[in-house]
Amino acid sequence: MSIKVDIWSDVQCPWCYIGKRKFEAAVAQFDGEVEVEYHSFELAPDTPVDYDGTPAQYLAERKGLPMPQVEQMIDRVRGIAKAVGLDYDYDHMHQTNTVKAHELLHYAKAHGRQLEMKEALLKAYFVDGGHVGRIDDLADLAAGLGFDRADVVRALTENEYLPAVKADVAQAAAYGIQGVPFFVFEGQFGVSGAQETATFANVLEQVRDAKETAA
Amino acid sequence: MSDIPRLQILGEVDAESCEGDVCVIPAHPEHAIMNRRLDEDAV
Repeated sequence: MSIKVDIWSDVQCPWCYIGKRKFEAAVAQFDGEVEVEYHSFELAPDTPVDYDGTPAQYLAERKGLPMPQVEQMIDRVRGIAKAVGLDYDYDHMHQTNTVKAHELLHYAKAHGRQLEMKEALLKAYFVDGGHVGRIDDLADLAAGLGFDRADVVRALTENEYLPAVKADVAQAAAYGIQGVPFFVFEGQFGVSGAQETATFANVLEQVRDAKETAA
Repeated sequence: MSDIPRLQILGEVDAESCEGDVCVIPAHPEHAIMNRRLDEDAV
């Protein structure tokens, strides 16, 4: 009996990547099938594509926080990321608008390769210092995974998957989702945030029990 | 999922997440909560 998990997430969300790792660890422990589908959530849709600064500068500007405090916050996130095997490189991240990255995720989903693209986008942004806002950079990333670069450029330029992105955002609003990552199990159970692996594992068991009871 | 049911919330309520452009919380969570309240009140 497979369990469907819909995950709302943004590409520039540090807790989404950390939560992804913790969730994946729970799935690896779980003795059942889990089907995952990612959905788009734009945390800061007003961010310019070519924002000239790092996430630390962005945070300091937006929240009016002193840089030492921002750096302390980032150090904490970096440490938690490290604990799940992720080397966040905050010195080389490019803060940007993520709508095109979300369109690319839908493009990949249409080609049956969404999970692969999700991981590639998160790694590009948080680990490799890649730019995940510009069409050319996204097309290069997709080409590196074997996608047809010209077709990716066409799809992103024509906004082919923008309606799908907006539909995801609207569905999140309908669920009452205010933050990400957010996990919806079997369309009935919601889990917010980067939970511990043991918590995700318990949730998978709970959902399976509920599904078997209802069957 | 065209019909959106009310979700039953599971898991810990204080797991870290991003809301708006607040993605990183300070070492002391009460500061994050206060920052969010200030935002909501547009202070």
